[in-house]
Amino acid sequence: MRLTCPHCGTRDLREFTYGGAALERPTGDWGPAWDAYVHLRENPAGASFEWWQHDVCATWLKVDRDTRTHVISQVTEARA
Amino acid sequence: MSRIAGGLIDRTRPVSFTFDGHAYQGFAGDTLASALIANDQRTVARSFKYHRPRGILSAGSEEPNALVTLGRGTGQEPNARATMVELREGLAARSQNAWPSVGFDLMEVNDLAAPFLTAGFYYKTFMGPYRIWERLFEPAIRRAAGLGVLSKEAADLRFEKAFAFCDLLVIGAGPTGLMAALTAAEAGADVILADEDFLPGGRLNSDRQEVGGQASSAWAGEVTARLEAMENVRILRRTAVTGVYDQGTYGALQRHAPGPTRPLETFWRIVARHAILAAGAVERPVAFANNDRPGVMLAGAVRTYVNRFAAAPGQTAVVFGASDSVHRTAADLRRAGVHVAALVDARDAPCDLDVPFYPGAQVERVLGREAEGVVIRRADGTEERVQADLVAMSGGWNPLVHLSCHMNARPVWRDDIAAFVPAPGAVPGMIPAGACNGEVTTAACLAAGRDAARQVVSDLGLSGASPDLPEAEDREARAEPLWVVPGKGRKWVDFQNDVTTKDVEQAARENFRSVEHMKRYTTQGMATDQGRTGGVTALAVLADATGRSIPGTGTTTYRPPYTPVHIGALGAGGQGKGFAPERFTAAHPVHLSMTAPMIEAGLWYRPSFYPREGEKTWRASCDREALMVRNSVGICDVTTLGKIDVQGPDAAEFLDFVYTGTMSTLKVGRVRYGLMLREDGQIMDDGTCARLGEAHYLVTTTTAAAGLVMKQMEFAAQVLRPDLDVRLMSVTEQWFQAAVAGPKSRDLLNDLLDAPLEPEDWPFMACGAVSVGGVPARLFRISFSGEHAYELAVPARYGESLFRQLVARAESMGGGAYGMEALNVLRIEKGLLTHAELDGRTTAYDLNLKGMMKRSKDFVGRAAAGREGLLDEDRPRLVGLKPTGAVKQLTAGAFLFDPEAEPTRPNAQGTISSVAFSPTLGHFIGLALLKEGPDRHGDTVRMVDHLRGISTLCEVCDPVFFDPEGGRVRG
Amino acid sequence: MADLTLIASTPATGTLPVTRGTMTLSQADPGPLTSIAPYKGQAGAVSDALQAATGLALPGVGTCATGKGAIQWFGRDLWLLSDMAAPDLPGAALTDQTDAWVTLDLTGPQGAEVMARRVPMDLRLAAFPEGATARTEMHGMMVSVTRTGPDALRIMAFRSMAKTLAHAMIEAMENVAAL
Repeated sequence: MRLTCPHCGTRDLREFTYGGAALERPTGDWGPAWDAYVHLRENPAGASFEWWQHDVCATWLKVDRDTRTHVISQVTEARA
Repeated sequence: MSRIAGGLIDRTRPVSFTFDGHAYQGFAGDTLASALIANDQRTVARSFKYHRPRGILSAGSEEPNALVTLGRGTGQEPNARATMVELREGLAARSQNAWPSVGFDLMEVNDLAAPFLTAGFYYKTFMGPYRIWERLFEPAIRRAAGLGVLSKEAADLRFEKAFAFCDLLVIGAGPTGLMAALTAAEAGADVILADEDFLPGGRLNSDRQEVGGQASSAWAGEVTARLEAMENVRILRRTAVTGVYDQGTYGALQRHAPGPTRPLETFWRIVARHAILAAGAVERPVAFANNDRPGVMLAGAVRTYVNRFAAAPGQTAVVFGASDSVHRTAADLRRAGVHVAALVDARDAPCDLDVPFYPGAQVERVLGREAEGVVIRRADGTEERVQADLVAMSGGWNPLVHLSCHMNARPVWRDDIAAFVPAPGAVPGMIPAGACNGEVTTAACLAAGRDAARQVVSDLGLSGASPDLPEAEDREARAEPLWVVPGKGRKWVDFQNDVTTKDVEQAARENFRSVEHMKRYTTQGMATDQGRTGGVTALAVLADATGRSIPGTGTTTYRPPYTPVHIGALGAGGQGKGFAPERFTAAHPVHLSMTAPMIEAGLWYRPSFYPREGEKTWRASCDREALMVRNSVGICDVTTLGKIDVQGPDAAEFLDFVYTGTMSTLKVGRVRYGLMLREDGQIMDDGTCARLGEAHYLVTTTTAAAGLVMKQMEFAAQVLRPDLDVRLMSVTEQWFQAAVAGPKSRDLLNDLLDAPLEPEDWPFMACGAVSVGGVPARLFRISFSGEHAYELAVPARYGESLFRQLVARAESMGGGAYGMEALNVLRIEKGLLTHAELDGRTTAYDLNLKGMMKRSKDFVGRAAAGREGLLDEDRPRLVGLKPTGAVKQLTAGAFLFDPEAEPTRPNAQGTISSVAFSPTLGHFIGLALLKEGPDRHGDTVRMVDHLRGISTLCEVCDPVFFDPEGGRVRG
Repeated sequence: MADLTLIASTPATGTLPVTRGTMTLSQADPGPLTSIAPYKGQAGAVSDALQAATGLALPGVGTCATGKGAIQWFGRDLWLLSDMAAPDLPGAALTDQTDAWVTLDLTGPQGAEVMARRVPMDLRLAAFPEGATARTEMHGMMVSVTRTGPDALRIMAFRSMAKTLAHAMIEAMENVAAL
């Protein structure tokens, strides 16, 4: 698998670390939104939005990956 | 000797080798298989299950029979395919799975038991009492079945890995691949041409035909030379592409030309923008009785041995099939001086050869343990016995679709050629072409290779004239499918796993009708050749038995690797020292010179203790070192703790977000202890945070969690709080750091530093810049021992020298260096934490650190840490333990119980996380997580270590055993 | 107060230089190293200030520039200044990295072949010309690779891993030499 880092170009999987589902962190005290953020995960057949880090340049990325075809349709900086 | 004239071997370079201890000779350009054939070795192996004698079936990587063991001891390599082993001087090969010899194998008795060893027999042994299976079947099966064995010595085989990048990867260097590579290369594309043979050309080297007005092998040699001369082409010989992966990544195994200093194999990861699959096709055997006997060979392989290797696999041949190509085989054999006793064509076709011809006939069975003759069933139904020591068979060709299926596509059936071909668009960026795509003539293959390359060239935006197509044979080789010959007897479809047509039929009868079930029930296609020879034949048998068509029956899933790959090749670079980086601090040479045993801490190596003369156990050294710190001064290398430089206008606010505590209120020149949580509220790590300037902090982490903390801090900065302007930089490597701990630590530093420490400037938890021998350094008055202590940091280049100086001065003051063991004792005496307590399941509340969680602001883990369940009084919480029973020992990992309770899991009240013998207190001490622990100081609990069989009573106490008021650390 | 001299030691690579076949590996001294991480929106100003002070501007992603000293792209919003002391750059986080890295020079005509056995990147001259630099991975180590000449590559890794880096490089050089 190869991912395209917006800085470094397309690189081998071994340079990256998976960082979990790309969810938005809730605010405030514990509640259902926090429960969902910490514990609940979709297992999509299809589009999956994920955090990855390109370890070698330290950039956190948002990756749009299709779990059925492994096609990576978009990689951006996490907060691009 | 059956060496004949001609061929592509180098007769000027004879090569000596041994097989089963006998010396033989071949030539450069031979494979082990061709050299064995030239030396009249017919039986070279024994089959997996029935131990039937086996000869060489094929001339390629699909070989299921001729598996041999190369070398011995640390260099032993079992299950090498003789057809793929390039002959080299001194090669020592042995037959396997036979005792006492391959010619006379006692386990051949299995063949007589064949009726009991049919499909699924192994699974059937599972039925009935387990003990019978365990004591009788399983050992018996283990002894009887199998192929090569490992030497059980650590392998001394060297492997390498490599990465390559190209515009176009051409898989296979037969007519299609050579033409494709040439076309793309001449247009300027960056091309890699990979072929598993050591001689590019594929069937061009095996068949007698003309290409471009010359012998096809000469044309192949010429094109290869042209490609080799081009800078934009890399030819990987002996390289099998083994797998297709995402985003144009291909795995390829290169076996190196024999040479003493070379690695055995290199595993390539090739990233290709485009690929052309020109893998060719392999011939199918025909299922007739005893078709596995030595002397029965695929017809195309016979041509390869005769034409390329000048080795005649027999003296009298019967040739059998249902295609024009068997006529070609008969012609080549005659030309080579082999007597053709019968040409048996299952079709009613004409024959223009002067050989005994049997149209509409079939070979029904083979006679002899090694082939001595065959029984031919003529068109009119009569039988005839014909003597022959070679049976060349052809059941048609299987296009090698495997690599096109690695991304989950299934091949599609073509009735006109009775074969599966790759599905269109099976792999993004890969074009199948030539024989693997169903082409049957050389001319069509050459054209397909050129056309595929032209498409790639155009996709790459390149241009340029394509090379002309050379003249080549374009006579359509007509063929009819030929799967199974009717009649009695066992007919093999999977030679390596000993699967016959009967097994497939039995699977269908026992309702394993799905092709995936049949495969697993019979093991058909599960051998190293992955069903390449007999797989489609087995499908035909299953289709027939279940009343379905072959495409209706379907294929099993094709998975990498296409061909066997050594685990060593996949893990190349990871052997020995390559397994993981070793990290050494600058003072490593000093630790070694003081004979400290080094222990691993993450990737780092740290000194365990520094033995002195007369100290017979680690405890003796550890006790001395701990007391040294308590009584005078000790020096400890603490470089390995993670150090992260945090700078920026929002550094303070950022740290308030990642720590439970408040770092924004920390004064410049001061240090604070901090906890970092995970978002689920559990503690991730602890450490100190020093404020070096208004917008400049230095965070320390534990050794093991340094990388994780850096990653999480980057995540917080980039993803969670992108609004904050902060920059993070690891400085672990920049600084060598040593702890100077003990009542004499200030005296030592005053003797060492360029300017003495003014006590009022250096209270507990102060930090600042100092100078050592003119070198700018950092000093932190922090303590992990409970003593008056400092940590002194200098740029790493001075680390070794500084550590020597510190240790020498400490020794002159009655102290010295201390290692990890003493460090652990000292921190347990003070109830300080490590990852034994911060085990990923503990909260600040559990460790009596709830006061460190600020209420005013959000921070990572705040919401989750506030959950009721994590603040339950019943949770195990940190306490100290002292043994009070007869046994005075505590052990880490032991469970705690009420003294009167049964020591069973449901009654457990907690566990011990850390223990040490405290030389200061003179007894064992422990840290434990105990239910309602802080309310139970003074109570008695029972420690039970079920694993070690130790049980003792303990008193629950405060976790700070030593100097609870902290007078020493502040003094 | 002591009469004390601290002796500097180089990263512990084991004995270098080493030559295998056409390739030589040696330890280099790149002089003072300073990482420069401009704060938000400050990259332009930092680049201008740096250029005014040293003649070197912040180079683009994946490239380096040389003058009196040298500056290379080193990661996300990060550059590494070498061979000269860092000037005052108020808009950036500056961190002394002089002792944090081991720097090896790989010289000879087969640099790309050697590196192909160690890093998952195309370092052939056409894909990685003079002036190109990259962060990548080698045997679990985060490394920096820079092409300093047609036949010269410079490899940096964490100082503590100097021995592992040298071992990995020499092994690859031996395997290339044997082919």
